[in-house]
Amino acid sequence: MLVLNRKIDEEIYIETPEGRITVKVVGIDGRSVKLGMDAPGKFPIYREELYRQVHRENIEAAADKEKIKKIGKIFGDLTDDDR
Amino acid sequence: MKIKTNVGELDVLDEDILVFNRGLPGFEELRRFALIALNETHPIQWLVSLENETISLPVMDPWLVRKDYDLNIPKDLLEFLGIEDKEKILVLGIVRIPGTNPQDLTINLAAPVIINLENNQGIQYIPQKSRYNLRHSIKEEMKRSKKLSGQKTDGDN
Repeated sequence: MLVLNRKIDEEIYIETPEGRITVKVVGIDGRSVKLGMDAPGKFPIYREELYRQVHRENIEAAADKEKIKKIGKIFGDLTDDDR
Repeated sequence: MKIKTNVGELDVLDEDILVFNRGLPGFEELRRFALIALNETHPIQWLVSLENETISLPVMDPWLVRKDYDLNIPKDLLEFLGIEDKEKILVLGIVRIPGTNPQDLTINLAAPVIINLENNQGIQYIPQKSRYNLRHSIKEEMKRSKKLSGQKTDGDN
């Protein structure tokens, strides 16, 4: 991992073939660092833990054959009285 | 082309192939999917990987679960997917079937899958902040939606 020292208001440029990503140190408060980021729209930016949660949730959602068999019945029960 | 998936062997037409250029979190290496509707699991559909036959995600229309589901797709994301016509967007919530109590289905309303039906490009949208959670009980949400529609459509039928 590239490690750089930056002070408040200093920036880092990440040049990519699709445009520049700018990361700026906006503030520091104890152990907490506030970062500002600019990136072209094609680069989604995520907090790592949020991405991890979705990652975990998706893996858990991926269904195997057994679950697929069960699901029809479940929904039948839920929606029967709507039809 | 014929494709083996864990919802069966399917015949997928080229024009039905959905491309997730960023993959989906957890399945970043998988790019090509198809959306399959099975009668026996209606209204749950399946986002099946065309590259890994063991991966399929149950998905469904979030508005079917939460009638007043509110989704704001930011401009950046519309651009990323090349969306010009907002009518041509398909939104899907990923459904989780708990292993121990499969009847307690949950749906991810915080990070929906968004597909541009005009070019078949898709992404899972993960907003920085959402009023929704990764797990909403489908049973509870449907009860709630039913109540809501009862209030609003009284006298319509």
